[in-house]
Amino acid sequence: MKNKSLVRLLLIFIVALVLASRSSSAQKQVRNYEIDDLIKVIRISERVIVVRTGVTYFEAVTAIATQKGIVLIDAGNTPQLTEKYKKIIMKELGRDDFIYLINTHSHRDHTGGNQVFPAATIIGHERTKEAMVREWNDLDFYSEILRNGIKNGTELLKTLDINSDAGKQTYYELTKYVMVQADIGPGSNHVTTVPTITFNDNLTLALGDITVELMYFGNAHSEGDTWIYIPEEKLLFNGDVFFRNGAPNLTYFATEETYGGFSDVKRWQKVLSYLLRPDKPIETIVRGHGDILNFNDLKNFSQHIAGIWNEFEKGKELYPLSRMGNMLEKEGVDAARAEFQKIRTVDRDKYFFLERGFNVLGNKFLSPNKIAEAIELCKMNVALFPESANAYYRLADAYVKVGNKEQAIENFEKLLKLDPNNQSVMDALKQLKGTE
Amino acid sequence: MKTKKTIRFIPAFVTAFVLCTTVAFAQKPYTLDDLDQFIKVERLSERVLVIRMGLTNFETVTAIATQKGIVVIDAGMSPPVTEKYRRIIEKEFNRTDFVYVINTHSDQDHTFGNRTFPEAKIIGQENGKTELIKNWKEKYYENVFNNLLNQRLEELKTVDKNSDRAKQIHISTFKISLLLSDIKNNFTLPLPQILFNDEMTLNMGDVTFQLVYFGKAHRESDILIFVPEEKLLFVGDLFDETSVVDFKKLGKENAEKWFSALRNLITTENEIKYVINGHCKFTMSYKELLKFSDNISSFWNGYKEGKELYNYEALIMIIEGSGLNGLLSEFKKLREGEKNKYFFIEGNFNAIANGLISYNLIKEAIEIFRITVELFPESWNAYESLGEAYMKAGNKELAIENYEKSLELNPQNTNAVEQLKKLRVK
Repeated sequence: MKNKSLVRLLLIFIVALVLASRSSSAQKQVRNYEIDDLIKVIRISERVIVVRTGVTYFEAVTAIATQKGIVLIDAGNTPQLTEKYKKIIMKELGRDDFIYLINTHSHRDHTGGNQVFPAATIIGHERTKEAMVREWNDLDFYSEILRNGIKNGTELLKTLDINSDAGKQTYYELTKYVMVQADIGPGSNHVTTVPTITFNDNLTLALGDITVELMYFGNAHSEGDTWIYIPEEKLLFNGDVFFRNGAPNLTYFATEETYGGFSDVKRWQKVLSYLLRPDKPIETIVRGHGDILNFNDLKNFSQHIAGIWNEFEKGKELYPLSRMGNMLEKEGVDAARAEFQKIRTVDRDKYFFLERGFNVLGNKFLSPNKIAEAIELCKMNVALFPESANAYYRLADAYVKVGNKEQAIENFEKLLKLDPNNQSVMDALKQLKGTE
Repeated sequence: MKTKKTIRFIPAFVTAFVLCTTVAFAQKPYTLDDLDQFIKVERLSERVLVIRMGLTNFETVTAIATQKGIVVIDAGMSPPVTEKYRRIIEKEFNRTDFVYVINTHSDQDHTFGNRTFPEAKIIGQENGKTELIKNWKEKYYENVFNNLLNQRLEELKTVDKNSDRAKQIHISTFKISLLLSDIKNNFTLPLPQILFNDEMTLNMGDVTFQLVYFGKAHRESDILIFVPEEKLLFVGDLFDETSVVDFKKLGKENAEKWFSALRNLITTENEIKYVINGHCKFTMSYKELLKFSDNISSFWNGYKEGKELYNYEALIMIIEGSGLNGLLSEFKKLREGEKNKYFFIEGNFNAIANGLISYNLIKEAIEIFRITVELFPESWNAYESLGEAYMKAGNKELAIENYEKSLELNPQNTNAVEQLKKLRVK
């Protein structure tokens, strides 16, 4: 699967599962689990555990037991949940000497639980700290996300089998939003807890049996992305910078407003070439959301970056997708289609595209009355990125929404060719075919 | 603005030049308690405590009391001695929460005392770890300090037993013997736990520590530590009050890093007021920092022009080997055009010449000051030094001439006015 599970994929996935679960039951059901049951421990090695919550998409905290104390990577969304992780870690490792907490980047789902570990020294890149101060103070923005999250989650949960995977995932998301709101809302006891130690390039912790190498990756997913390499464990943490198969998640330059962030490509390449050295063994990669990746994912990511950089070096520009968005909104689907034809023929050496940009733009066309525009965008995406499973997923999902089963099935099947073991797609297909 | 401090390569220098035949009977070696009289405490502010131990050359440990605990800058050479500092700090601040020790570089006289603060996390530049391990493997500490101990004991025989120098040697030999026994008994290298390569900031609530790698200079792990809330800068062993650049590591690549590290730090916004180095008697001021920064700029400009730094230590060798005549023929070569191959640092000439004066080698000093004014014709300081040297040599006429020149370049030079008054009265 070339380009899987961007953040939005979760929503699409849930929508697909909605179809599956709707038909099965409409009667009131009793939830047969608690939030604690959705918390799982993944043991990477004797010294390393990942604690994560969720079913299809997680929040995660990693704990590494070193001779000098426990090192944590990221702190989850909210003190309430992270308190639970803390207890689990103490039980699993049989100790409570938290010494360092490293934030891979500033986002709230990685720093919201910082305050749970007052004894640990928090470390982050200097721009992570700056961004945290800025982001945590922008409560209006975040409150709206929370309000919508709670509203949508509550609505969605009514339509789901609460004991299905989609139901569990939605229940977790909803619980998380409710807890976060309680944490940062009026009267909450949340303390914005920023790093005590910041650095600008590299920082190393020498902890006896374990060495923790922190590397600033550059502007990528956020402005302060930090990768963490532990040679003794052949272990790498990439924050939220890439997914399985190396699909990048480079929000910071995904839109034309911020794609100047690609100016950090030299830094990315420096970090990548260091980590791809034969004397830097890597077997396991833990992503910021608890997915366990491997060395091939890193190699794929590196190749992907090299490919994009190649486009820049050929003198191409990133196509300003907002232009396409305006055209779709104001001049309609035909005008946009003509523009796309022009880009693909006359201007073919002028522009290149990033799939992530389509994902960002696509969010503008989520409402039912804009589905024709959304389908048009998804078709462009598939034409440009025929190797991307995610592109097919979006297109198939859009067809599901307009009830075009034939096209939905066709695109799900193309997706399955790229990612033959994708169980959730197989389930969705079975469901679609079953209701024919 | 004359600095009369003797040059730093004293040991070899002294043994070669001191013709003094004072017979000194060695005093009894110092004990730990004898050191107490040499410990001086400076309370720079409510939060900053500077401890210095020595008589002519000092060991410096600074403690800063922050909201999140006590941060120590450099830890001295011997745990038992540093234990004394620790007790002083605890008493002065009435607290014991040591959380971080920051090493300005990896040298033993700054790092070996780290072990006195086992509960604190040690912070240093990443090259420092490599340096410590390499020195340990190559038995650097045993070799160097055994030799140094013997040198010092020899020197002790030649100095007046009541002199400050003799006392300083006693302090020094005592410290060295502590070190030698330390490394023989269950020694663990005091390696930092937190290592950074370029810049790091430690935020302690009310106090911030900005750590900046200076580049390869005195060692390969030299850092600057700036504490904005206290307008305080730590410079390790990069320079002392003479602002003379005496680096082990040179070269264009390094000079660029020094230049940029200082340029980013010395801003009007930062308002640096206090400068603390590893071995000075006093806290220095912004003035010395600026002089040092000028010297670094000269380095950077010199290297950019494709020149090499003139080898000042060679002057010492020349004087040791062939005296005044050797010096004259060296300067003849410079005057005949070799000077175009080099760049020169005024302060380095001054340091050497002042060192020569303190050993009564006035003629040699005069030659060095003469070449200094030729190379730095705009320097009132150089003319003043030359005037002073002529005065010492009894050459009133040339003394007056050079003081006048100095006054011409700097009408604010009140010392020149005074000296001229004296010279004309006589």
